[in-house]
Amino acid sequence: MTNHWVDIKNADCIMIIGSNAAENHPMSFRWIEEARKPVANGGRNAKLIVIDPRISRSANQADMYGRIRSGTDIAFIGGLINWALTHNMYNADYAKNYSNLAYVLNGFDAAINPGPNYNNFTGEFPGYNSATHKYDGAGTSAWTYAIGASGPTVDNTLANTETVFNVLKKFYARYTSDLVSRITGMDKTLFEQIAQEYCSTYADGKSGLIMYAMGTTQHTYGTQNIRAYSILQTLLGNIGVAGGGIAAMRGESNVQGSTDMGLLFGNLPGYLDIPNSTMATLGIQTTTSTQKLTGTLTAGTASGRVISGLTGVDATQVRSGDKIQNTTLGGTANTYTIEAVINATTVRITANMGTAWTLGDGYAITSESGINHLTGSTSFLGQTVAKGVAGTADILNTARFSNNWKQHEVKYMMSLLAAWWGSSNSFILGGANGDFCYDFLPKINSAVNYSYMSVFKQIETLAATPSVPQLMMCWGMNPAVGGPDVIHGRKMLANLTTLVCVDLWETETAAFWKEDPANPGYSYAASGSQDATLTPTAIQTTVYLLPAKASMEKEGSVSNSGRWVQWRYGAEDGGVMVQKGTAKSDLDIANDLMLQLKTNYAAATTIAGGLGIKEMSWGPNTPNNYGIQFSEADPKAVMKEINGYTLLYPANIGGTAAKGNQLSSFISDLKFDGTTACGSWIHCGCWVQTDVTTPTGTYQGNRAAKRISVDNSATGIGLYSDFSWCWPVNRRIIYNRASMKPVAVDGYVPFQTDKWVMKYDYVTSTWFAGSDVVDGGANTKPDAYMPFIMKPEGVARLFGLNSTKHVDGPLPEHYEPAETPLATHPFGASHVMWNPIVMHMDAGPVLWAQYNFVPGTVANYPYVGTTYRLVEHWQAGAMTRNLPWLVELQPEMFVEMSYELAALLAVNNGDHVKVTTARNPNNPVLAVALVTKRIKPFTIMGNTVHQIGMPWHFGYRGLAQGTSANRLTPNIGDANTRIPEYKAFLCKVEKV
Amino acid sequence: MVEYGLLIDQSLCMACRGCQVSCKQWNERQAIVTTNVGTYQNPQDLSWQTWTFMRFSEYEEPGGKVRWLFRRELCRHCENPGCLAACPVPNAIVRDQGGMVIVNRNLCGDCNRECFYGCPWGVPRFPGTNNEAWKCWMCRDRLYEGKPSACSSACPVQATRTLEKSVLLATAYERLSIVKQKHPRANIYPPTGYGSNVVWILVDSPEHYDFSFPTTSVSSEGAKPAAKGFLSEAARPMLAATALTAGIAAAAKFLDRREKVARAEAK
Ligand code: SF4
Ligand code: SF4
Ligand code: SF4
Repeated sequence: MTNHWVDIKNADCIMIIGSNAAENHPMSFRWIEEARKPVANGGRNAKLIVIDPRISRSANQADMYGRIRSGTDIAFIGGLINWALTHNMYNADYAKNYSNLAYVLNGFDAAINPGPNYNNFTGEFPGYNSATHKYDGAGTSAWTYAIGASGPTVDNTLANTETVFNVLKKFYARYTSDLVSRITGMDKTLFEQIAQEYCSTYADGKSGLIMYAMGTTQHTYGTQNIRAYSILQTLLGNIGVAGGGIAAMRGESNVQGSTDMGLLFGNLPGYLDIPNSTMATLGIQTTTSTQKLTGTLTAGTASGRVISGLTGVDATQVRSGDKIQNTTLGGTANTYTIEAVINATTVRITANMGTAWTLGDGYAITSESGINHLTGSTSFLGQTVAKGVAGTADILNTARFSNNWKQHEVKYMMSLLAAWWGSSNSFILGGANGDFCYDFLPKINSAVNYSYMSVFKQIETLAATPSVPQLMMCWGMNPAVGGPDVIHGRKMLANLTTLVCVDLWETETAAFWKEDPANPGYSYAASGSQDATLTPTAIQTTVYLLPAKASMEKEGSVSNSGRWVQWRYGAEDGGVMVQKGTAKSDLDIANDLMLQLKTNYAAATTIAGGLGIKEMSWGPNTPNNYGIQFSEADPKAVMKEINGYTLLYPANIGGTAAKGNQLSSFISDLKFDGTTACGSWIHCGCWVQTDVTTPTGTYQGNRAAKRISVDNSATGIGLYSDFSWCWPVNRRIIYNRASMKPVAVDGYVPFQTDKWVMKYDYVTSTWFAGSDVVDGGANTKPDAYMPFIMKPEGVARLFGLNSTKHVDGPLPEHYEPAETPLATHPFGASHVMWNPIVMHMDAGPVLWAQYNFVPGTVANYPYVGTTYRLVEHWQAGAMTRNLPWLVELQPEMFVEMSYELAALLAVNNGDHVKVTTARNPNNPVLAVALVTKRIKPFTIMGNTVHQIGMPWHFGYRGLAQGTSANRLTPNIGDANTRIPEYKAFLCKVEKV
Repeated sequence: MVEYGLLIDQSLCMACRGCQVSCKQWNERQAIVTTNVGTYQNPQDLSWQTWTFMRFSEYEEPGGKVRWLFRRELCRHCENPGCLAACPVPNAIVRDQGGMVIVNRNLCGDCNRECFYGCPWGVPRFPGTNNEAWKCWMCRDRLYEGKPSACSSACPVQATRTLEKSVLLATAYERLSIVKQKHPRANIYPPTGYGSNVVWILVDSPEHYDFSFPTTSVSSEGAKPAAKGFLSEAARPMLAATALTAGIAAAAKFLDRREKVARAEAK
C-alpha cells in the first residue's frame, strides 16, 4: 500500500477491484465503513464501488457493484482512463507537475500508428520482435523521452502530438463505453455511472482509493493490470494524498514482510535486484593502484606498535588491514599490517617493530588486498551511478530533480554485504576485486527463470538426470494444493530425491506420497487411470516434516500491507512461552540449518566449496569480532541487523561511532565504504540506538514495539506515527510531496485542505506540526524535491519507459486470458489475442510451451472459471482445514454458478457436480453446486458467456477435505512475475 | 450492574462470522460436523454447541438488484422471556439484572424441555444425552468484567455491539436513520416495544430474511418431537410472559475465566 489501513477512512470513493476485501481483509472494512459514514457522523460519505465477476461478500456491501468477466480489468480501467481524459476529469495541476503527462516522447506516436488514431494498433508495441517474442527490437527507442540539451523535453501546453498526454488520449480513445461493456459484460449505463463517480475524485480536495489483491495479479497481464490502476490514480491526482493511493492488500498478515525481506525470486532484502551471473563484480572501484599514501615521517619516531609523524592519513581511505612499509629501510621485515588508524598522523600496527623508524624515513601505505578502497565509482550492477553524490550521472536528473533513492543502491548493497559477511576477514580486507564479498553472494543464472512454475518445470527436466540429487524445502508452502495444475505438480514432487516440509500440519505436500483412496485423482495419469509411478511404494522421495511453531507461539515482527512493522510477543501461559511438542520457530530452524552448514563447510577454501558459508557473519564461528555475534536464534538480534549498525573500525580510525551502534536512517547513515551493515535498507530506523518508550514499558530501540495510540496528524487523518514503525523512515503515506500543489505567489499548498498530509509554513520556513514524515527531511522546502523519489525524473510514469525490468509494453492494453471464450480479439481480427510476451499465435499455439501449457478451447470447455478465497479458510488450507470451528463453517468444496447455468446443466442447488479443464479431463474436481442469484451470465461481444467460481483451499488432508480447485488452473502466468493465471480459465461443468 | 443488550447492524455486517467462531471459542463450544447443502450457512441451526450462527438468504429486488441478506441468529434476551415462563423449576432460568436470560444448569435438567417450547423461537437446546438447556448467555462473565460480549469484540466492523440497555434503542434508531440513506426499507427488528435486549437493524423487510424456525433439530438432539405448531413470526413475542428478575451467583468456572482474561489482557 502506498498509504495504510487507517488511511482508508479518508477516501471519498473506494474502488475494490481484483479483491474480496470483506472476506480476505475484513479489517479493511472497519475503515471503509468509517469513510462511508455521513459527514455529519464524522465520515466522508464515501462511495464504495466493487468490481467483481460475482457478488462476493465485498460486492454485497457496495454502493455500486460492477460485474465484469474474469480477466477484463484493463478494458474496464482503460475505459475509466478514457472517461477521465475525454470528460476533463483529470487533475491537470497534479498530472502536469507530478507525472510525465507533458513529457515529449521519442517518436512513439509516429511509430505506433501514424494517423489520427490508433485503431489499427495490433497490440504489439513498436520494437516487438516476433522471433524472440520480446520487446527487444530497435523500435523500443521510441519508448523513451525526447532529450534536449537540458534533459527531457517537456511541453506544458500539451500541444505536441508526442506528449504522453496525447499518446494516452489516443491510446485509450479506443476504450469506449460501448466496447468496455461488450468486453467486460458490464451494463454500459452502469459503467458510465461508475466512471463518473470514481473519476469525480480528480477534484482538488477529493481522493479515491483503489484496493486490489490477487484478482488483479493472477493473470497473464497482471503487472499491466496494476499499471492501469497507477495510470488512473496518477491522472486523478490520487497518489500521495490522504485517502488515496493504490492499496496492494497482501495475502496474509506478514506477506508484506516476506517480500520486504527478499522472498521473491528476483529480490534481495529491501527490493534490491538480485544480481545475475552476468554481474560478476560490483564495479565500484576505478583505480587499480594499490598505493594509497606515500610520504616522509615528519616528526617523532615510531616504536612499539605505534607509528606517528605520518602525513595526511585519511581514515576513510586507510583502514585496518592495509600495509605500511618503511621504504627507506625496505624489505618485508619493515612492513606491518595496520591494525587501526588512530588519527591523521598516527597508526597502530599489529606487531612490535624490530627496527625503529626515524625522522626523514620514507613510508608507503598499500592496500593489503591489492585495491584501493572505494575511491570512486563508474557503474554498479550495470547502472551508472555517482556514488553518494546527488545524481549527476543521469541526464534525467538535469531536467527536474528527485531524491532518486535508487542511485544510492551501492550503499544499500554494500551495507547488506556487511550485514552478511562484515565480520569476516575477507570483508575487512575488501574481498576479492575489492567487492567486499560480493563474490560470495549467490548469483542467479541470467538465462534461467526462478518462478514457481519454472522451478517445477526444472524438476521435470532434471528428473531425466537421476544422478543429480534434487532437494526441495517447502517452508510453510503447500504446492500440492496451491500450485497451478496440481496434478502435474504432485507428479513433479515424486521426482525429488528429498523433500523437506516445514509446517504446522502434515500438509498434502508432506503427505504427497500417501495415496488417499477418497481423493485418488492426484495419482492418476492423464488417462484417468492409476499412474503406476505414483503409488506409495513406487515413490522414492525421502520426505522430512519439521514441526513449526504458529505465529502466536513466537516472538518477532509482522509487517502489514500498510508497511507497518509491528513487533509481537510469543504467547505465554503462566509466564512461560507456549511450546507444543518439538515444534520450533522458523528462525530456530533456519539457525540450526545454518550452524550445521557452517560446520560442514568449516574447511572451505573456495567459493564453490562453500567459502561464503564459512565466512558468513553468523554464529560463534565467525573469525573475528567486527560485526555483531549472532550465536543464538534471537529475533531481536535479527531485527537489529535488519536495521543496521556500524562496524568496528570507524571508532578505531578516528570516527566517533562504536562497534554495533544502531543506525537511525538509511538517508543519513548508510555508507558505501563497508563501514555500515544493514540487512534491509528500507528498514533502517526500525531499531535505533536510543531507548523507545511505549505504554507498556521502555524497550531497547525497537520502534516496531511502540504502541502509542495517538493520532499525531493535524487534520485527524490517522497517521498514528508512534504506533509501530513503518518503512521507509516511518513515512505513513509515501510520495507525500505530491499532496502539495504549486500555486503562484502562495507557494505549495495542500491539494486537500481538510485532510492535508503535510503543510509548509513559509513564514517560519518550517513544516506544520502534524505533517507526515517529509521526504528529503524536515529542513527541506516543499519544492526541494520531486515527489516520485524512486525515479530519476521524480515524476510518476503514466507512460512506461523502455526498461530491462519490465518485459511488457509501455501502456496497458487489453488482452484476453490464455484461455478465452472469444474467437477473435475484441479490437478486431488483426489484434493479437494474448499478451504477446506470453502467448502468440505466430509461434504455433503457444509460446510458453516450456510450461507444458496447452490451452483448452471454448468448444470443449465452454465456461469461464475463476478461483478465490473464503474468509473461513486460509490459502492452501493447512492452518484452517484442521480447525474444527472453521471446518464447521465451510466443510466442503463447492462451485458457485448462476441459476441460468444450473438450468442448462439440469443441476439443482446442493447437487454434486464435476469440473474439468484441459489440465484434468479425467481427474475432475468434485464439488457441491451452490446455485446463486449472485452470479449471472454475461453477454460478451454479443454472446452469452457463463462464469463459475470456486474456492481453492481444499485438498486431501485435514478435517475438511475436497478436491483442489488447482487441478483446473493453467500453468501459465504473468509476463513479468510469472504468477499463474489462477483467475481466468475455461472449464466444463457436469452433473455427477 | 447496568442492564445490557446487543445491537446487530446487518447493514454493516459482511458475514465474516468472526462472531460465530468467537462465541464457540469463548464459551468453549465444540464444532459440529456439517456438510455444504448449497449455502454458505453452517451450521443450519442452533444447537447446544451452537449458540449463534449467521443465516444467509438471497433476495432479488424488483429492479433486479440482488442482495445477499445476512442475519445472525441467537437468543434475544427477552424482557419477558417465554422460556423462563415455561420453565417449571424455580430459578433454573433467570433474567439477570444485567439483562441476560440465563440457564442455571445446576438446577436445570429435570423437565421435558419446556423452555424450548416456551421460547417463541426455540432457542434453548439440549445435548442428546440429557435435558439440560444451553443457549447464549450474553457472555455474562465478560459483561460483568466490563468487557463486550465475545461476538461484539470479534466483529471487525462493529456490526455487533454490546450497549447499555438504556441507550440501545436510541442508538439503533440513530443508526437506522443513517442506514436508511442507503437502504430505504431498512428497519429495526423486532419492532419497538417487543421487549428484546437484542436488536437488529435489517436492510430490508424481515420477510426477505431467513427466520426459519426449527422443526427437526430438537428431535435430532434426542428430544421428543416438536409437538406444537409454531406461531407466525409476528405473533411470537406476544407469548412472552412476565419474568422473574433475579441475580445469579457467579460459578467457580467464571472466576477462573476472569483470571485468565485479566492475565491475558494485562499484557
Ligand atoms: S463478526 Fe460482525 S461482520 Fe462478522 S459476521 Fe459477525 S456481525 Fe457480521
Ligand atoms: S424466550 Fe427465547 S429468545 Fe427470549 S430469552 Fe428465552 S430463549 Fe431467549
Ligand atoms: S453474547 Fe456471547 S454467548 Fe451470546 S452469541 Fe455472543 S458470544 Fe455467544
